[in-house]
Amino acid sequence: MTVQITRRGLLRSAAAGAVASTMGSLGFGALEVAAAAQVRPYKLSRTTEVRNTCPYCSVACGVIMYSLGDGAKNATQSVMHIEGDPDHPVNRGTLCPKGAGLLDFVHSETRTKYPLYRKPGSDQWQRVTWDFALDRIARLMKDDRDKNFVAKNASGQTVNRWITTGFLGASATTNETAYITYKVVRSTGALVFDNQARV
Amino acid sequence: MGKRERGGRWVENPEDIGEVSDPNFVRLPDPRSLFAFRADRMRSLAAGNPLGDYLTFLAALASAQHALATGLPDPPAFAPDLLATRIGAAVPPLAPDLLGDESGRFNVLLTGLLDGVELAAAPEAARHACAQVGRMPWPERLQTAEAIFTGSYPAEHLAETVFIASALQVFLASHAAALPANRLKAVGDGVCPACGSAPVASMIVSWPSASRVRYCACSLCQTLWNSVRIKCTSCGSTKQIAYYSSEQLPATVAVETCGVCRCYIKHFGRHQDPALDPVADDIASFGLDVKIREDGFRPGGINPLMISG
Repeated sequence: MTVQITRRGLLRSAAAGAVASTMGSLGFGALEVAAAAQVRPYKLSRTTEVRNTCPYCSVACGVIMYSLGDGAKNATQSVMHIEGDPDHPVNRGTLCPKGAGLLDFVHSETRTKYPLYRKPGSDQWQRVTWDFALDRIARLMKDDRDKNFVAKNASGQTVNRWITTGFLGASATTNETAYITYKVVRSTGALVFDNQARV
Repeated sequence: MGKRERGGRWVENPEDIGEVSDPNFVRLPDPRSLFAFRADRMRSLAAGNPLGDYLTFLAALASAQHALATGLPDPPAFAPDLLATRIGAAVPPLAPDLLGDESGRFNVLLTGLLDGVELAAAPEAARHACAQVGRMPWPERLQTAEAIFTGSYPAEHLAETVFIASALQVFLASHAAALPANRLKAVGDGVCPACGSAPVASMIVSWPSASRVRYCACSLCQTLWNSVRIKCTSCGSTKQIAYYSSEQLPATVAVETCGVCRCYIKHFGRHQDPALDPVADDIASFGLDVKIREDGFRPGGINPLMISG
C-alpha cells in the first residue's frame, strides 16, 4: 500500500492508523524513543527576525532585526542584533557605519522616547504631553507663517511662499505617508522641505 | 557590517561596508564530493549523539553512495527542446518520466548500492530490508522509486525505501549536476527548481557574493536553491515566522516555524559551521523535531532517510 505523504501531514499507515517511522522499521526504534526522552526536559527559546527599514537617510536600506523573547504578553522582547538584509535590492546586505550602529541607537539611553520641551531662556528639558508639543509647534508655525508669508514678489507676481520654516520627513515612510506629508506641507506654501518622496 | 580589519591591517576604504549579496539562484550538486562530505559529517556527528548508531549506519550508506557517484559515467544530455519547454513553463526539468527513460542507469545504481553498502554492524531489520529490496522484481523497484520521486512513501515498507531513495539521490544528483544552472527558474515555494521535490532543510550560507542569504536543500537531487529569508518555505507567508532553538543543542541549529500554515523546517547556520550538511544535521538534531512537534508544528520538508510521524 502506498500512502501519499503530503509535507503538511503526518505519515500514517492508512490500514492501521499507526504512525510509521524509518528508524523503527530499520531496527533503530529504541534509539528514537531514547532520543525523544532525552529532549523532553529541554526548553526551546524563541527568536524572531523582522524586516525593517533603516531610519537614517533616504537610501532606505533594508535591515533584519533579531529579537529574543517568546512574544507573550508579560515578557519583554529585546532587540539583540541588527544587520543588513541580504535579500533587500537596495543595500543587498550591506550597511553604512551609521546603519551598522543601529543596535546602539535602539538601546541608547539618550534616545528620545517622548516629547521634551526647553523653555526660551531655560537650561532644563522638561517632559511634556504630545498634545502640548503638537499645539506648541502648530502655534509657532502659524505665528511664523502669518508674519513671514510672501504672497507676491517684488514685481507683483503671486508666489504664495513661506520660506522661514523648514520641514524634514523621515526615510522609513510609506508612499502614502510621503504623499500626505507632501500635500500638507506644500499647501502651507512651505518650500524648505525634504522627505522620502524626493528620492 | 563593515569589515574593519583584514589580515591584521586596518582597512580604510570607506566603501567597504559589508559583503554585497548577489546570489546565484541555484547551486547544482557535485555528486563526486557531496556524499563523501556527508558520510564524514555523519561520522563526526555520531559521537555523543543519541542517534549515533543510526548516523553510523547512514554514514555507511553515504559512503556507498559516494562510491557509486564517483564511478558513474556522465548522464546523457538532456533533450534541448524538452528542457526549454519545461523551463519555459516553470516546470522542474527532472520529472518521474526520467526514471522510465533511464531505467537501466537507475538499476545499475540500485544494484551497486545493495552490493556495496557495509551492513555488518547494522541491525537485523536493516539487513533484512536490504535483502528484501534485492529480491524485488525490477518493475516494483522502479514503481517504488517513482512513488518516492512524487513524494509518496509506502508506509509499510519504509525500511526498503531508504535503500531505494539513496540510489535515487545519486541518480538524480548526477542528472541535476548536468543541468544549465543559469537557466533554471523558481517554480514555487518549497519546490526544488531542478526536480520538483520538497526541501530537506534550509540554511544560511556565506559564499562569495552570497553572504548570509538562505538556500533550501533538495531532499532528492541535492540541488540548493536561493530562497528569501524570513519567509515560510511551505506556504510563502512572511507573517508569524519564528525561530526556535535549544541551549542544549549547537547554536547553528534551529527550526523556522510558520504560524500561518503551522509548518516547520530545520534552519542551519552553515555560515557559522561550513562542515554542516543539511541531511546529516537534520537527523542529528532530531530532538528539535520532537520538541517542535509537541508545540503542534508539522514538518514542512522531507528527509527520505528519516521519515517519522
